[in-house]
Amino acid sequence: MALIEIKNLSFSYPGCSETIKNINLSVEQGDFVALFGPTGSGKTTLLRLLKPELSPLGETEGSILFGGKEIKELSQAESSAIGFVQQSTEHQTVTDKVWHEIAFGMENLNYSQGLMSRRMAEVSAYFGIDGIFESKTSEISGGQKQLVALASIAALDPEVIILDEPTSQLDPISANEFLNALKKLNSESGVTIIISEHRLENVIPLCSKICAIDGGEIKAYGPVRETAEKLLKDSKMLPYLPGSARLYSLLGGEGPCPLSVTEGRTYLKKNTLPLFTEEKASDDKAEKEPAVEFKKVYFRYDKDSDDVLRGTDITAYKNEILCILGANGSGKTTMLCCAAGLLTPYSGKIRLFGKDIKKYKNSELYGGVISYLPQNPEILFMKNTLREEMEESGIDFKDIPFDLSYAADIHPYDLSGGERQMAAIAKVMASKPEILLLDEPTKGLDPKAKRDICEVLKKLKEDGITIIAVTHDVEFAALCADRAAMFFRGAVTCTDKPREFFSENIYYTTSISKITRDYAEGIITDNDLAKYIKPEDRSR
Amino acid sequence: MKSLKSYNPLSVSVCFLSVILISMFSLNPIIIMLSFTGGLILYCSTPYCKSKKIHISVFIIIAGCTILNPIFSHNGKTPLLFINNNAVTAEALVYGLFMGIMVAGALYWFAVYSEIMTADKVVYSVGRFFPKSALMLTLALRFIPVYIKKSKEAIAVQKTLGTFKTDSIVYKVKSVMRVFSVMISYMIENTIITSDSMAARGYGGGKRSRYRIFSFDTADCALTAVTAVIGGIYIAVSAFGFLDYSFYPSMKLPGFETAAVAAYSGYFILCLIPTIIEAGDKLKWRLLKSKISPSHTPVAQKQ
Repeated sequence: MALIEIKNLSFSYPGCSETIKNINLSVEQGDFVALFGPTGSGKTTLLRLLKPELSPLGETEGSILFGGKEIKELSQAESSAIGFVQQSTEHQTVTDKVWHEIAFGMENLNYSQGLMSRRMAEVSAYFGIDGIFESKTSEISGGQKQLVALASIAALDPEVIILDEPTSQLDPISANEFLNALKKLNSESGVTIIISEHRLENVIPLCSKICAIDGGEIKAYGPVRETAEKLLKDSKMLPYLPGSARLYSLLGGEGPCPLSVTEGRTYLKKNTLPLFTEEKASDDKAEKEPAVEFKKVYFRYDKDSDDVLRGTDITAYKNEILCILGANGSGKTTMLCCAAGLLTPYSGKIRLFGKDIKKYKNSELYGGVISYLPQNPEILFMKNTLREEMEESGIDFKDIPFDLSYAADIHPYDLSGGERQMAAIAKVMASKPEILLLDEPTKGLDPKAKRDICEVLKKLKEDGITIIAVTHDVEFAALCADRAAMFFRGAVTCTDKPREFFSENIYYTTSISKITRDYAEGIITDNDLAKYIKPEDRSR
Repeated sequence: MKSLKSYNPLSVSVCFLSVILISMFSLNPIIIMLSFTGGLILYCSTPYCKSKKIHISVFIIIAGCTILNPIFSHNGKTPLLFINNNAVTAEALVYGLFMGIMVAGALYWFAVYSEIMTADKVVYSVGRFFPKSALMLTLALRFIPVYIKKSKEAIAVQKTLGTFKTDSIVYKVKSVMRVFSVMISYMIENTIITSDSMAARGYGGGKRSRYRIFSFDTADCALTAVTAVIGGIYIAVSAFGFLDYSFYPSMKLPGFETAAVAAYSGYFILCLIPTIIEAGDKLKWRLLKSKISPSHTPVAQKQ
């Protein structure tokens, strides 16, 4: 008997059309299932229906059985066998100390002191968080917070853990660490995992099954490779699959579909590649006018703390998109805040269009020179609907380079991640700045929203705007940057055009580049790939 | 011996609060002096309090009380001088001095106490008696730093949007209100996530237990017991009136009956216990250190 059995499940929010349409799904004990699909496809709703305490209000038809029992009828103790991890690292933390966060669930279920001590020792050691056991939850990193959230649920001895985009707020390194912890739980302790994710690159190697969902319906569900092969023809789902699968699909696909970088490389070795080595594009030597210049900039937050920026030297030229990549805590965001005039370095010069930033008056600086969009743009919004928000900034829906008018009457917090980012960009662009600074513009977005953002940035660039974006997202940088820079320990280590940048990087690069690097030069994105494969080869 | 920081917050609280409360409710100059001396010794000998500034405040408090009390209080039999036909009496002067010493002594005690009682210890102690309030306190302790950090971000963003202006007071108030309103929506939206997270981990289902991160061991029992015995003696002796003292109308020597002397010495021991605990801990480590030489470490032996 399956652990979770969903039969003819339909669900609709009050006054809305069906969000979930007649879903049938069964998950076996020990499965590792990845759920993916566009934003708004009903992933979160489906996952929440599986946890009685979080079931959304609305009309439900059909049934969900957990261990043969209707899920609505589970007792509190039985329901604790279903763990749930949410997306927001910050707000799903409840208490002020890490140890208390881990104990919280056990306290709620009235565990004895002895049992709690034992479980806490176990999970802290298991997830490697004993070092932060007595830390404050406000002082640990996002990755650590998410591990603590997982540990606090693991302490309740769950049979299944449901995770709703748990890594979308994390940088790639922490995301991988988190996924490895999940894998460990799954393979060593037999905990069933159901996870929703936008990017399957790193999740697929861990999965036993994948499930594609769109418009509230299941497009495909089953063992990984089989299901992935089914989805290759679906242009809407293809972008979610790993780079190797996309490459396989472009080449026409013979034999089993490769799903990891290693498999992709083996596949290319077996199938002689119809790829060309591209002649290098000639460098345009034209004099470019600098927009933002950093000259030996040093910054620290406190007199006694370490330097965050250590002699940062970088120039963003007028009318280009500069992407800055780098690890967490390397000082990228600090650099952006310095460029926005929000922080003042203690040494070095920052010039905007040749003029020292200190010589700008605030009204001048923020009234048409520079705009800054932080991570998690919700703190920009204060009105009840997007329309009011836009009116407040004096923006007409017609003037912005993308259509948002369909969402005009929605509360800004209810917009999807992509729409919210678009609205935020529109809002900061209202002052008609010449420089736009973006912090992690693609965080937590699905592939389509990412591509949309990319298009918008390119359009803005055509209008003569200089864009500096700080990002972890190599695929995004490869797609839209004119130049990419690597930030390390408070300074820029290299700046290059994305093609050179990503083909010369070995680890910090796109999966497509990792797969193709031995066979062809300079292929870093799907677009490159499509370009270099002759149409007749594609049909093979 | 372990340091005060590793004692259970309840036993530490009982000891410290007994010392402070006794000195605050007693007018007896000997008790006040003992509390002050004990506090001063503890403050200067513990490794937690490095700031020397407190001594300046103490001096100001004592001097201030000594000077101010005679100005407002004209009780007492021994006039020293007359200002505006009001007598400045020796009794009022000395009363002010001792009140100053009492407050100053309490200041030393509280300074050390607050170093020992970190937020989680306060939560633990409150939770012993009021579990629900303690949980609320925990939530607030998490929430406040997050909120402050986010507010700073919101101000920065509003600045770059040109909607946070500090040019005049009107603009400033408007801008702050704006950020406040942004933060309110932010808070309301995200509290839903927090409450979901609580519900998902079984909160609100019924009886809760409480994880006690601090254990109550023999040393804690001993500390509490000693405090209780000395406190009991003090209360008994004081109930029989042996410790009564009044500065007005004229000063006399405080009582020195056997019972009173017993109460004084008991109280002084109580005042010295925290210092003794700390000194014992330090001494233990010094002794241990002299024993730990490279040849004795297990790692060295293995290799």
